[in-house]
Amino acid sequence: MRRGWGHWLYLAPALLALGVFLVYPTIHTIIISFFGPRSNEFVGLANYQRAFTAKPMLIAFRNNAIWLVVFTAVTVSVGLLLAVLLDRVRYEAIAKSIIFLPMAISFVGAGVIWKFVYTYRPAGTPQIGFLNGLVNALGFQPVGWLIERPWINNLALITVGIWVWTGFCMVILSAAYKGIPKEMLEAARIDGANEWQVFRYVTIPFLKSTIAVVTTTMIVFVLKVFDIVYVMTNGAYDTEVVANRMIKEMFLFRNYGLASAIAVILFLAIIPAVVVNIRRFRAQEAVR
Amino acid sequence: MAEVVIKEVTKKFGDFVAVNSIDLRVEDREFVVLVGPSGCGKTTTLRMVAGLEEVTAGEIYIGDRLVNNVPPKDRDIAMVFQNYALYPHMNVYNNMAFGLRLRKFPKKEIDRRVREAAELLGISDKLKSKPKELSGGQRQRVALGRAIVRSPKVFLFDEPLSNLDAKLRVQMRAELQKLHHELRTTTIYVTHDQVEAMTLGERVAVMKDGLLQQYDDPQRIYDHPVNAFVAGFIGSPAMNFLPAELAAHDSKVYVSSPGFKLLLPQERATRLKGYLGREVLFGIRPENLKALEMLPGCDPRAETVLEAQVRVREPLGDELIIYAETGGAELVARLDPRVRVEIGQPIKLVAEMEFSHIFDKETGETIV
Repeated sequence: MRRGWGHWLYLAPALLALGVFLVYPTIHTIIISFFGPRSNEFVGLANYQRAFTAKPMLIAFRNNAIWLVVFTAVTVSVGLLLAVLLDRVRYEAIAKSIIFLPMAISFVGAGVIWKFVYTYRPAGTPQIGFLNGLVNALGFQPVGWLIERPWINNLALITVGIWVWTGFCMVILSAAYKGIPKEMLEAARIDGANEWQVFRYVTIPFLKSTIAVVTTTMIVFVLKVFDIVYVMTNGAYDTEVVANRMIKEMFLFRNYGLASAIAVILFLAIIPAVVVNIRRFRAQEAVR
Repeated sequence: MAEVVIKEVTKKFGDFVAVNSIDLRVEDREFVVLVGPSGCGKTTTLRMVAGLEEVTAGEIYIGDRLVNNVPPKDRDIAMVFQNYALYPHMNVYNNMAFGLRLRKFPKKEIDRRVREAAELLGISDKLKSKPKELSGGQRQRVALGRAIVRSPKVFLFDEPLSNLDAKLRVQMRAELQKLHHELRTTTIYVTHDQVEAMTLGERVAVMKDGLLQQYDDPQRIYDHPVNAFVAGFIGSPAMNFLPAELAAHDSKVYVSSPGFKLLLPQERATRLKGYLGREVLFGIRPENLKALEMLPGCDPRAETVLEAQVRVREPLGDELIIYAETGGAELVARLDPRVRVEIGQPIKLVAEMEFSHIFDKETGETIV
């Protein structure tokens, strides 16, 4: 290393930007999370205590856990399945484009679309929602998709997220799948593997690191999930999630201390996933 | 162990005919090499035997069994690929054991076979390594091992040595030959390298444009090629092809061109009656051209001597290759290294006409 201050000059813009927009806000948030609603009295861990014990928060944590498991599992596994199956289809490009299309819609837009799909009118009145129209036509009672707690409404919201993100998982996994040498799959077939065994013992291990990256990316997203819930139910009927709760505490109840504490909790929860992602990424770079 | 019969097999990709009605019979325990330039259909043929490509028309038998509609896993074959196609996430042991595990062999038997094969291939100390830790030669040994442990009816090789460097290729070539002597498994081996074809094949099938040109033992293909393509493809440096005319004088037949006039031996001449006065291709291998100065008893005015201008000389130590020109045509000669030649100087060469070939100019078919 050369001595002198020259290199700091080159680093300054980046450090300044990171410091002002990332490091300072983080530290500030951590500090005010130990203060009261108006940030004028020190309350110790009271905000954290409330964050982990208040009823709405517990519901939000539970829902985030449901999102975490269902959303991640479905997007990644369906994305993988589509990547492998569509590789054998002649109209692959069109099919993939259609499945990827929801990514181009904002979550607010997606929320509005799916609100129409889920619309519920009491039994006996005309159903204007697509799903209930279908249910009615099949001769069943209409379902309050966004009202029935805790499973139907939460899963209905998660479905919207899955609809948006599966295409993303598929595209990344498909790119990796196309990188598999065809001879390796053929070698496995000649070795005596049926298609499932080829998938299980050759394809999946080969895609392991990509699957890990996609999974952690989905986990990071799902921990922060906000817009879909905000637009469709705003947390009503026990569909609250942590990020939405944070916004409410911040801008509705003006409780800066509690909102900051929730922000810190979310931040800490996301760190492990980010670390795994970065490690994977570095390992991949090292191979190159 | 089994024979492989390929019966009038055709493969089309859309309108393109990759393999055109090929007939090939590989005897039990035989080592057959499919050779030809890229795009000749040799790999496609092999892949059809493996079951990786569907057969458009015709029949393929392994043993007595028609396998057209049998998936690869049930054909009891093993294949070695050019790029090895090892499973990168498994170590060497598991790479070799994979096929046996899928076939539900008992653990002990798997272990015995894997260790035996590793011993045979000299990779016993690498069993715990991952493929990426191995050199190209070692990887190809693992790929061989993976084929051997299964003791399949047929080995299929798809240019297995092409990714190795020249020295290793020669070494592996010899090892493959040894291996075949020990195992005696029916083998079909695809290559574009005529040296591999000559050295490994008990019989060689030369292909071009989806058509089988000649199927015979290597020496016969070398000595008696059926057409100019086979003659030019097998042998290095390649056979010389010189446009010439067949001329008759006093019941003798000559091959003549602006650069030379060479007398054909009598027994060859009789078979050329119909071609007298016509244009033909005169073929002679580089080793059948000798420097006159090394043949003390030979008359410089003999009717098998031609003169050429030396353009390039390549001394290889044990032999001297010269590229020369005569009457506008280029020719290559493989000479004794003691011959003194200079670039730009003329050299007198004696053609061993009893080893020459005459091809039809239009069809390329061998006349004699």
